[in-house]
Amino acid sequence: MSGPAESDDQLVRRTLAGDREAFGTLVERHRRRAYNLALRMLGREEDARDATQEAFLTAFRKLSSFRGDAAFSTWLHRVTVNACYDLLRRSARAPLAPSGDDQPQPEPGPPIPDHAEATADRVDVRRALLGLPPEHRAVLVLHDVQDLPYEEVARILGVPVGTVKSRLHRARVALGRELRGEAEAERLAPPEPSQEGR
Amino acid sequence: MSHPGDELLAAYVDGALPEPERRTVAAHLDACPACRDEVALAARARGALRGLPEEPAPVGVTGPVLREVERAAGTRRARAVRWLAGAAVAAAVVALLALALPELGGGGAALPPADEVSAAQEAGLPAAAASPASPSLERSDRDYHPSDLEALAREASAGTERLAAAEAKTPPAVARAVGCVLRGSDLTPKDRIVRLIDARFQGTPAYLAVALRGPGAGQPPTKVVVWVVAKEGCGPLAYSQDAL
Repeated sequence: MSGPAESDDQLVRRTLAGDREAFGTLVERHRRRAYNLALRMLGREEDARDATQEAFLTAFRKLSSFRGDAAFSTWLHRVTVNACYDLLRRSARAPLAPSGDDQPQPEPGPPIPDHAEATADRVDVRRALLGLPPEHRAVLVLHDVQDLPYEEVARILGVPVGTVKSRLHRARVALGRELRGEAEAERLAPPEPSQEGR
Repeated sequence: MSHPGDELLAAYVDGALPEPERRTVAAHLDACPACRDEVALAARARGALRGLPEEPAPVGVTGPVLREVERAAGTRRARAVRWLAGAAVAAAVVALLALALPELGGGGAALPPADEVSAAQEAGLPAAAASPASPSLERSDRDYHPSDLEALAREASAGTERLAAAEAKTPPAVARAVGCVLRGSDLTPKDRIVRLIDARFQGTPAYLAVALRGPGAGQPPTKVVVWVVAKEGCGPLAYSQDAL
C-alpha cells in the first residue's frame, strides 16, 4: 500500500518492481495537471482525455527508460506535450482538416472593446490559444497557466532557457494580438519595424 | 538604444528582471511606442492565461490506464504480493538458508573479507546458528520467485528478535551490494537491512534485501520490506512487504 508521504521517485521504483498500486498512486497524483495541460493545448475535452490517457500509457510503458533522467513530473509533462503534438498531427492529417496546414484553424474571435477586456479575455483566451502554433501553446500553458519556472519548461520541452523566454515573449504577443482581434490584420500586414532590429 | 530582445521582454513582463536591467527596459519603453505596445500585448496575454481556472480531471481519464497496468503486471508475473505464503514454503526457505549460510562472524566481531566468505561457501561449510549481522552478504545458488519473497518477509517478521544489528566493518562486496540495493530500491541508509542475499531472481542475478522499517526515526519497526534488484545495472525487479 502506498502511503501519502511517498515520493514520486519511490513510487516509480515500486512500479518498476511490479507494484501496480504504486503506478495508480502516481496517476492519481498527476492526472489533473496532465489533463489541464492537454485541455489547454487541445481545446476539446475528448481530445484532452485521449491525450492524457495516451500520456499515462506511454509513461507506464516507457517508465524504465525514464529512470535517472529528471523528476517524474517533468518527464510526465514532456510525455503529455508529445501526446498532444501527436494528436494534433493526426487530426491535421485527417480528411476533414484544412489541408496544407499543421494546426487546426479556429474562427478568429470578434474584436473586444477595451473596457470589457479582462472578462472577455478569460472567455476568449482558450480559443485564442488554439490559433497559435502548438510550440507557442506549449510554452504559454506550461509557464503562464501552470506557473512553471523557465528552467522547468526548458527541461520539459528540451530546449535552452533562452529559447523558452524568447518563444514565450513571441507567443504572448501573438496571443495578445488574437485577444485584441488583430490576428487577421497582423497576418496580412508587413512585419513591424520593432521586430526587425532583434 | 536598440530594442530589448525577446528574452529580456519576457522576463520584464514576468517581473523577473533584477533592478538595473528593469530600469533600462522601462526607460526604453518610455521612448519606444512599438515595444510599449508589444509589452502591453504580452502582459494582457499573461494576465488572461493566469486567470484560467484549473478544471477537474474527468472520470474515465485513468480507467483504461489502470486496466493496462493490471494486464502488464499479470503478464510480467511481478506483482504486489499478498501474504498467503504457506508455512511449508517458509520452512523450506529457512532450511535452504541454513544450508547456504556460513557463519559470518559471531556477536559483534568484524565480518570476514568477501573472498573468505565465498571460499567458505565453496567449501560447503554448513551454517551454525543463522544470525546474520546487519547487513552481511549471503550468497546462494537459489533462483527466487515472487512467491518466495512472501516467505522471506514473513520469516523476518517472525524472527526479528534474533536479527539484532551488529556494527561491523563493511567488506567491499557488501558495500557494493548495499550501494546497488539503495540505487534500485526505495530503501535508504536509514532503513535497517537485516538480510542481504546474493542469488538469482527468476533467472536474473540479483540482490535480495530484507529491511525493517519504522514509522519514524528512533521508533520500533512496524513492517518488513523485501526488495529485489538486478546485480547488473541495479534496476528494481520485485518488491514485497509484510506488517510486523
